[in-house]
Amino acid sequence: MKTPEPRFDQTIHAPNRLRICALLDAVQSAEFATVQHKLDVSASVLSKHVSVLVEAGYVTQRRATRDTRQRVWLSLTDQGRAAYQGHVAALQAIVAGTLGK
Amino acid sequence: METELPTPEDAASALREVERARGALKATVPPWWYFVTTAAMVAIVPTASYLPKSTAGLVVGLVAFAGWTALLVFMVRRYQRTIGFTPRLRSSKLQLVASGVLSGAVLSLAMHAADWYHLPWLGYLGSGMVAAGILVVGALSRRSARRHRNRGLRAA
Repeated sequence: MKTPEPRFDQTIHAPNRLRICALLDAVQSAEFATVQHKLDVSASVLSKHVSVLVEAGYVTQRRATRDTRQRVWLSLTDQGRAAYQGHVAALQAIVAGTLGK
Repeated sequence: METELPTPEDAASALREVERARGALKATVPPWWYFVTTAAMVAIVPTASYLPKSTAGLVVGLVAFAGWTALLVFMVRRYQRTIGFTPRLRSSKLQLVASGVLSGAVLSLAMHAADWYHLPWLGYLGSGMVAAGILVVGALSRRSARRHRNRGLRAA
């Protein structure tokens, strides 16, 4: 697999958004309630950060009906995945002191 | 506007959060029924050899295969809805392909041997071995998930 280019991303760096991206990077898609439960955040906080990520083109939302209730499934877009992986590579480079050298 | 980069300490802390978020998924205990149903579906495969070798037998076989596949798809979807996410198979793709090929080979070999030696139980022995393997994998993955969950609870 190609090593991602370190690229610091302000949109992703906000703590909750970084955690959302980390979780979504490990899956193909995840249900909103599952992300909320796993990250231990309120629905309104998660919704706010997901909106920012959707606006940036990093996350997509898909609605599905289950047991007559609407469920929202979230997934990273290719652009979002690349941005997240580049951001993690940038964080690792900062820790190693190699960013921009 | 110039981007202000975090300090190495802040970056390290962010990376720890990344690991914690990813680890939260590993604490998801897969439902037991998924492995039991899959094992049962594999175990009954040699029953196909009892179908009469005629057009009617072929039709019944095709209908049964369509039903079996539909049940499998339904079960996988139900599993995904139960755990709340669709796993990304990137890292475990090789493992999945290898276990699929191995299971297929064992099943096929056992069914051919059953047909060759006219010993039907040989087919069930092969499918039983694969089914047992599925149950073992299920038990191990449930145990591993529970350990992750308990570790997370202790850390909290």
